Amino acid sequence: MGELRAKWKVNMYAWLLLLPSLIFLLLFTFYPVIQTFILSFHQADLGSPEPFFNGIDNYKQMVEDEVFWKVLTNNIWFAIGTVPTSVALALGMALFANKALRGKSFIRTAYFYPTVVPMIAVANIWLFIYTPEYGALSHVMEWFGKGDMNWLGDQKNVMWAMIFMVIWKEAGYFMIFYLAGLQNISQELYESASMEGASSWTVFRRITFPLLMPTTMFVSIIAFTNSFKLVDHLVIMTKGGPDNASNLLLYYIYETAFSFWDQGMASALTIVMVVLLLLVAAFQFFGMDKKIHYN
Amino acid sequence: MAEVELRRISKMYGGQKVVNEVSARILPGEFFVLVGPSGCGKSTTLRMIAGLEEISTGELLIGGKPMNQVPPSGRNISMVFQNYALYPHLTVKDNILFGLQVRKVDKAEQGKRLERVAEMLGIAHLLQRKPKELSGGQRQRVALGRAIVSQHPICLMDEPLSNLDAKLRGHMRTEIRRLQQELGITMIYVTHDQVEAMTMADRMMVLRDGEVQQVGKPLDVYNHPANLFVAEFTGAPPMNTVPAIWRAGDQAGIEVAGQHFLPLPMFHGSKDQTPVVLGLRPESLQPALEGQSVDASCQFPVTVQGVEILGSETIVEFTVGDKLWKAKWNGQWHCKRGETMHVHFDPAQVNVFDGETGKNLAVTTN
Amino acid sequence: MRKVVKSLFAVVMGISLITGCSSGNSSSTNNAAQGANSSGRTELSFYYPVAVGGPLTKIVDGMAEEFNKENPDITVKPVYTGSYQDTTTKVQAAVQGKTPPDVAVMLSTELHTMMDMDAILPLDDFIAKDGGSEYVNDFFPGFLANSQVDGKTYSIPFQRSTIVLYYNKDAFKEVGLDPEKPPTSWDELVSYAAKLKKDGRYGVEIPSSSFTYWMFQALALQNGKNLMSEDGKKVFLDTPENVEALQFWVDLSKKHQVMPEGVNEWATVPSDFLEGKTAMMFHTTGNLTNVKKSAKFDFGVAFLPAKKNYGSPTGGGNFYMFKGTDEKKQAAAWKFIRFMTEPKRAAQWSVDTGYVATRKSAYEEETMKQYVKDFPAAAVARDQLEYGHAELSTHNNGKVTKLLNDTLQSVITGQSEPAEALKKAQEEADKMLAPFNK
Repeated sequence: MGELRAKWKVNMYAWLLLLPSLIFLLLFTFYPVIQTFILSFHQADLGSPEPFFNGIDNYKQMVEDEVFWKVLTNNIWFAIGTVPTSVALALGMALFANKALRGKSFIRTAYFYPTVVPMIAVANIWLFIYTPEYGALSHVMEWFGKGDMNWLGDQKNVMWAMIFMVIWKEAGYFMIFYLAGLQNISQELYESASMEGASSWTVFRRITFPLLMPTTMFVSIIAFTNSFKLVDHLVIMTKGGPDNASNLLLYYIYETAFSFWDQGMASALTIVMVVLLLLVAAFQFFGMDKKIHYN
Repeated sequence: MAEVELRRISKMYGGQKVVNEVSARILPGEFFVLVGPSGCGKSTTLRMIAGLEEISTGELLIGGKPMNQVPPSGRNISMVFQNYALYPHLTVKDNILFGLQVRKVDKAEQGKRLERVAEMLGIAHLLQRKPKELSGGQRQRVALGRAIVSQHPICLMDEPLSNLDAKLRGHMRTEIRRLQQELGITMIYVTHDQVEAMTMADRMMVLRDGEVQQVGKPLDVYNHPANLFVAEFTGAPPMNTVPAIWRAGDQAGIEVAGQHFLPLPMFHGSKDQTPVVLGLRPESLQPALEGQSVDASCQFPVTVQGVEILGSETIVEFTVGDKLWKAKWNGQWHCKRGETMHVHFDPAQVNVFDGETGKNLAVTTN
Repeated sequence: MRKVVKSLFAVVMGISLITGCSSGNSSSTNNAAQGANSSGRTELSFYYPVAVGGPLTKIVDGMAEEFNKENPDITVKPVYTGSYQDTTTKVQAAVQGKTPPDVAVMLSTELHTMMDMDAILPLDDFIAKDGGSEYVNDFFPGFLANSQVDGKTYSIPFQRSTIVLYYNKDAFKEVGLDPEKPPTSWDELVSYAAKLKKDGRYGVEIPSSSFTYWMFQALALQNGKNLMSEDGKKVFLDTPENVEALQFWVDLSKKHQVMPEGVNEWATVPSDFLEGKTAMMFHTTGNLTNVKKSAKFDFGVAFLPAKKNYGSPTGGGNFYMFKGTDEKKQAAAWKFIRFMTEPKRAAQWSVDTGYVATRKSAYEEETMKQYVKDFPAAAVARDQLEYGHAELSTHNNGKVTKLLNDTLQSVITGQSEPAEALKKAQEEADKMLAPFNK
């Protein structure tokens, strides 16, 4: 009896401690997600003053919507373009910044600074860089006789331009995680390896990289979700154009909700995005986690 | 081949000299211990031998060849680190074989060596585990295994036992010594623990503030400490010391704090009134029992301050001058605090140090 | 047990603190929206966006303060709500939360959307009570066109603009063109542009991002008629005239090569003009003040060149009033709108911001006369208003506009052909508008 009460007390205490964050989670995460889920089965746009249930019509329409497939494909390419490169670059930068003896803090700051600049400002800077004729990039391209390349105004170039900019923006941020990860690797391990005469490549491949796997995994998830979350630059730079060539899923959701005022469709799109992100996170956590060493 | 020679080796960090002109010649198959309090430069010296630190000035020879510019892997050395430096993501097997894999040693050869080492250290059943699944002692063995499997003739160890509990430490001391002798490797071993140095070393080097204090066999160092520092560093409890004044003349002897006068006629050489430090090891002070015929000059009365009875021996505390002294007696002595006793000593075991330089003046004994 | 009670207390305190904060916030916003308070004073919330550079918030706030001084029984609280898009979103949220603002400035093209949301009030009763149609008829018809549906007026023009042709007079002189004779027809535009083009300088630029449909509308108007019906239930995208207009646009870069290929960024076109990278540009009058300040060369402003006739759509923001507010506040809000659009204030607003003054009588004001005399370009926009038409505004406006933008960009970037693309767009738009044609 007494034991039961003691157990109840401990449980009660735990729930009380969890309560505040739980309330916020329910209020600002679960409740909206459920509402969105419900709304995604309703027709709720300008043509229907009162939302009404329409089954999976929104999803059917979505499958037929060319723009949806376009933004989804774009987003996948955007993720493929940004995630591995920015993560690899971050790792490289961290290794370099960690090794550099002179100007260590300068190098770190230089690498990190794009992260501190707000995305809106970054977009404005790069808008100038990408300007044809007299933009910074055009001056460089002039040496190759390609000064009039229209980076943002051409369907073939615009995605590359975006990917490049986002890599530049994000790599410094991920570098910080790698720097922290590197600090956690005992110096003794490297010394031990050097006693054995291991080359720097062997040391990286057999020691540094495996021991950084937890960081890599964490950073990859962030990078991947970011590739779906980062759309601020589209507002400034292209509005998703030309002809949706740079449009991404989240921006399309925004357009659908706040420009087309089609809340039912926007909800359906949101559910697709949430499921997509959950799947990837689940794959990364449950699939890859087993292969990773944690200290 | 496996001889290591240090010729006036120094290490500078910025303007600071942390190791100052250390010289030593370590013979093949010798167990050589670098000992001293933390910050004395012993680890830095070891790391310079390993090649992990650059040698600022001086020369390092291994097997007669200069090694200053040779990378660590070219020095024919294996090393055991304080925290073992086991790769946490690799199994015990891969940890042990890492070096051989890097050196591209033949697979069959790798297997043979691994088997032998595992058997020697009794870790055969652990080979598939990761380091975090091992106890402290098991990790220690894996680290040893990694050093042994390389078959380098020289092995360096940097405080390898400091993470183990006292009992295990005692056990591993014996084991490391046994392995070293069985394999006939040259061992250079760093520790801050004088017990380890005393029990394991063929020869030991006592360091302080980057300076060599004394090099010698453990018992020589113990019995004839070169200076006050070495005297107070070695032994447990360490040597008792007290500032005193040397009196020359007919009645030559030492006056301690104006209270005691110990006639020491066989010491010569110092001037009258020279400040000195008197040193006596705890086991050199024995109780003077009534009815024993002892030279009265080698005997003085003390008031007991405290008693620790350890079973096989008893440590009695009392003050001499303003210093607390300890005496170690065999057996169990039920003395009381405040009781007055007489203790005597063998004049041959008296150490006298220069009051200013701390150097042992006993060299002038006849 | 006491421990548990104690911690429970702590948790509850924590939560009440949090909720306390939020309820505090909401009550303050309620106050602002609720208006009439105990002292009999009427409080109005006024949402407004800023879409051009300069200290516009200060000017608006100053005007509101002036109004408050003149009307001690009314207090207008101006709330800066970001861009046009943000303002619409905020108004929409407020309407759904049953706390609409009393008055707001939004894009004139939001008309049908706002009507579909059943959010806005028709203003005819206020107009009738307040001296009748004389007030409304003083506004330029091109501006008013976006305010009226089925004979009812739903919004009052405020910060309005239109598209004009900017040209570099120095460049004209340089190639032997008369700087006082800008191109008046499409053919002239092409031939002038060809003359003006040289290495590092294009002849003309028409922006093709953000407001692509607006620029296309200008070309369509010059070649015939507007893109939509007045009630916003139909669009006419695939007419032969429109195909011709779009072909002309594409030809400027593809065939005549007097304009850069690909999408020309809305924001960089004026920079190109100021940098001398293009000798002429189509752009909003909203940029007049900026170009005047920054141009290091002599420049002129002209009507957009004609094909069949001159033509340019209007653009910009109007005052709206919302359903669900009490009558006293509606009356006060109307008073405020009247105040803000008084001829002398419209004139001053135009001088301060570069927007086109919305009323004919504003041009009779001394400040305006002086401004036009010093800066004749300011009058060009007004004179062109004779050929001004409603900006593209339909039901389901967001979707239709995006569809048209995407279609135009796909043609401009060479991904599809004008006739085919516009035909497809027409079909899609018909689908989008179908629910409103029942």
